[in-house]
Formats: sequence, structure tokens, C-alpha cells
Amino acid sequence: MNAKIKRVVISAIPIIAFFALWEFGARFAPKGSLKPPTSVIPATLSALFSKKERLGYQTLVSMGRIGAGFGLAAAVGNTLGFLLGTYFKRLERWLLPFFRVCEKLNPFALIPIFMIFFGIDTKEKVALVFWVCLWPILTTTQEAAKSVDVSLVRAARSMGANRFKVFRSVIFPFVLPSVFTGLKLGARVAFFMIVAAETYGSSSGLGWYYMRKNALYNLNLLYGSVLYITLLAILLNYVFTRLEKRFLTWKTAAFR
Amino acid sequence: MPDKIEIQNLSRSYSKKGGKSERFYALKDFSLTVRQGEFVTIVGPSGCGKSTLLDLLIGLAKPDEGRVLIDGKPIGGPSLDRGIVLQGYALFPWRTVRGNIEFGLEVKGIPKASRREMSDYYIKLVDLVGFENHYPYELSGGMQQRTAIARILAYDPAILMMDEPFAAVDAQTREVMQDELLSIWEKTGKTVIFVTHSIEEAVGLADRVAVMSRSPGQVKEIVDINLPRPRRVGTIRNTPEFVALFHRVWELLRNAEQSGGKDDGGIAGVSGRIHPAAVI
Ligand SMILES: Nc1ncnc2c1ncn2[C@@H]1O[C@H](COP(=O)(O)OP(=O)(O)OP(=O)(O)O)[C@@H](O)[C@H]1O
Ligand SMILES: [Mg+2]
Repeated sequence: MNAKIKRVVISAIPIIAFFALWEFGARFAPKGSLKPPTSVIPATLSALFSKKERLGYQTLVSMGRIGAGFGLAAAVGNTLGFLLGTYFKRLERWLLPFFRVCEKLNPFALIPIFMIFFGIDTKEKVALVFWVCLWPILTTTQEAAKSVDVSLVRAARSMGANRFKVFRSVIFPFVLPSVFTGLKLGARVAFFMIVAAETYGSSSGLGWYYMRKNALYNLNLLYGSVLYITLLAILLNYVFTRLEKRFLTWKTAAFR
Repeated sequence: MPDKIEIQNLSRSYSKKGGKSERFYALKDFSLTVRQGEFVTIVGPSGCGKSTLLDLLIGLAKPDEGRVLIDGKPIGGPSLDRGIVLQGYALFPWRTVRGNIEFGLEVKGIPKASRREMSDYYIKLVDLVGFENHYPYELSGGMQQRTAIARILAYDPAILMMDEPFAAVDAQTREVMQDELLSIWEKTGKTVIFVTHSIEEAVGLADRVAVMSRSPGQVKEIVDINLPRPRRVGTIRNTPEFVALFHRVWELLRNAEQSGGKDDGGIAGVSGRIHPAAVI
């Protein structure tokens, strides 16, 4: 317990130093370029709950888009990943080069193209999030499904397990930790993508809010929203890391 | 006792690396009959097709030629009347000891409450009380071994097959496990086919030892082990009868090595293991 507190304190030092430096630097920076955290943080907190600024509402809008695109990608990516990695290996080999190309398309360059196909509002944002999330989720699940330990499948089959039981009790639990790894990677890129997508052709969401504060030259809230978006990303990442860890215990321990 | 397993002219080949049409026979024309309740051990040089044979018997693989009859009926796929402890245990790492032991019972469709009762019984039997909620990675090799055996015993197959089940445990544990296996076998009357690299183990446990030769994998000779039962492996190995049988199997295996083909890795089976003189 003591060691844990010590670790937290030690890792807090650079963060505190960063804020101190920021506070200090803001006093010497040219006027109108940097605001100190002592003014940025209160402004952001009040914006979060204010009726006029509605930062809280914009958060919900972005999160809703992430949720829809990410959820869809999770459903499609994991299903496809399972099927291609297990029962359709031939199809997988055939599709692999195509997937590799899709994966490497720069998603930011895709924004205008998606706008042509999906218009400029929520549908397009959701489609972009779906697209960027799909590849890490699909690839991670598929790789894991491909590497299922054959001896475990043999053990299950030797005990009379049918295909369904083998799937449910061997393949699925074997792949599950990787599903969460994929979701974590997906959530990370989803967050990058939504902010980028909302800075173009949007009238709501965190990316839009940020660009708007930029246009209005509201420095407090400009820095504030960068800080806030970062915190959200850290939080989301934390949730998935915990989930991943929880399901990964046996795997890290068994194959160490 | 009636015949339980009739293995008739079993052959199994794999395609050779490189040459497309050329086949390599892991098992060729293998025949053996095992009686109800008999304990048969199989020894042979590494790569002679022992694991392949068990795969065919369990139904995980299909033979090129020949057939396997159980109680006079040809086998289909795997079934709950046969159980195998695979080389290397293959425990499910995400299941606890109890979860592993209950796997076959789940397949059998036994309700949860009775599954628990039955797993309790087998946990006691293999002496793992207090470890039922441990995961395989939290167990020693010997405990994993016992879990693997309990997993098979739990769904009560009439035929038990084991592929070098005690290869990875220390000598003391090994002896305890051997005696435990013998007493379970004596109590339940199951038919056992047991593959091992240890001549001492093969002779100590068996009613008959089938010695295999390599390239192609065949039964070279069957040695009857007429040692008294019930046996304890630790005490029986000091008797002159045991030593004589040990020597006989050892000779057969040495010849199997020498007559074996050019395939690599053959010597690993017996050389470097105890010479009979070391036991006497
Ligand atoms: N899937 C496979 N494809 C090609 N060859 C195989 C395959 N499985 C086994 N073999 C070959 O068949 C032969 C018999 O293998 P098997 O595993 O049955 O030997 P074994 O007697 O169990 O050996 P060990 O004592 O080392 O376990 C070996 O030469 C092996 O290389
Ligand atoms: Mg083998």
C-alpha cells in the first residue's frame, strides 16, 4: 500500500511540474498567446456546466458519435475477425492484402471523400469513426483467432465437444483478451478521429467547439478544451485497459 | 475377458515435405487387440507413431486404411466412452481446476449441481482439495497432471488413453501418480492404453507391453507381464522377475532403434535412459 502511494506521488511530480511551468511561462509569454492554468481550468469547468457554453452537451454529442461508430465497428470487426480467423482461413488469405491497404489509407485524407458520400453531419462522423476503429479491432481479433492453441481444441474435441461447444468454450475464451486489446486500440483512434472530423464541416461536437474557440480567440477555452479532450481520452483508455487486464490475467500468466 | 479394442491393420500417412505424391507412413499395418479391463503400455522410439495411434483411437484423426473396433463396432469421431490425456496436458488456462474437471461433464449435459458433486469427488481422488479454484498456471507440473487425469476420469469413459502423462514430473511424484493410477484402474476396471518412454514405467504398470518399431510404425513384439497384482511400482521393481522383463523390453527397443530407418531423432527414445544394470 505504501509503495503504491509512493508510486502515485512520484508519477505525479512531472505532471505538477508541467502545470507549474505552464503557470510560470504564461506570465512571460507575449500577450495573447498563452493563458495560465489558473485561469484556463476554472473557465473550462464553468463552461462544462454553463447553459451558454454547453461544453457538457458537446461532449455528449461527440461521445454519441464515437459510441455509434465504435459500437458498429466492434460488432462488425469482431464478428468478421472471428469468422475469418477460424472457419474461413482461405477467404482470409485472399482478403488480407486488401485489408492491409484499407488499414493504411490515411483516415484524415478520407474526410472529404466521406463527406461526399455521407453528407456533412452525424452520419459522416459516425462513418469515419467506424472506419478507423474497424481495422485495429478486426486485425487483432483475427490474429488471435488464428493463433488458437490447437492442443486445446484437440482436448475439447477428444471429450466429445461439438463445433459449437469448441467455439464457446475454447475459441471464444482464447480470443476474448485480444478482443479487449482491439477495442482499446479502436477507442484510441476513435477519439483522435472524432476531434479531427468535427473540425471540418460541423456545427457541434468537441472538435467544432475547439475550432470555434479558436475563431473567437477565446484563449482560456481554447487551451481548456485541449486539456479537457486529453483528459477524456485518458479516461476512456483507462477503462479499456482495466477491462483488458481483467480478461488477460490467465493469458499473461499462462504464457509468460 | 472379451475383446474391448480391436485395432486392425491401421495405417496413417502424411505427405512428405517437398515431394507431392510421396507419402510418409507414421503408422503402417498396425494391429493389436486389447481385452476388456486390460492395462496395455506402448513403448517405442521417438517418432514411431505412438501419438498418431492414439489420435486414431480417440477419433481425432482418420486412418488411411484399417479400422478400429470398440466392443465390436467401428468407431466414428471422438466420443465420451474414450478419454485421452494428451501429451502436454492441454488444460484450459482460463478455467480453474474445477472448471477443467467439469468440461466433459458439460459436454455430457449434466446439470450444474451434480457436476459440482462429481468434480468434488475427483478433486479429492487426485488429492487437489484446496486447489479447486486455482488456475493451471498457479499449479505445479504434477498438479496440472493430476487435473488432466481427473478431467478424463470425471466423465467416466470406459477406455483411458494416456500419452506420456508422467513425463514432466519428478521421480517421487511420478511413483505416487503411478500407484494412484493403478489403484484407480483396479477399482474401476477401465481399459487403459498408456504410452511412455520409460521402460520401468511400462513394465511396472502393464499387463502387456507393446514394443513398437519405427519406419514404418508397427508392433514389433508384445511382452506379457505376469507380475502379481495388486502391484506397487516402488516395491515390484526390485524383484528378479521385473528385472528380467525390463531387460527383455530394453533389448527389443534397442533392436527397434537399430533396425529403424534413417529418419532423424530416433535415438532420443531410449538412449540416455537407465540401463538395466542401473536398476539391478
Ligand atoms: N501433422 C503431421 N504432419 C506430418 N507429419 C507428422 C504429423 N504428425 C506426426 N507426424 C510424423 O509422424 C511420425 C510419428 O509421430 P508421432 O507424434 O505419432 O510420434 P511419437 O511416437 O508419438 O513420438 P514421441 O515419442 O516423440 O512423442 C513422426 O515422424 C512425425 O514427424
Ligand atoms: Mg508422442
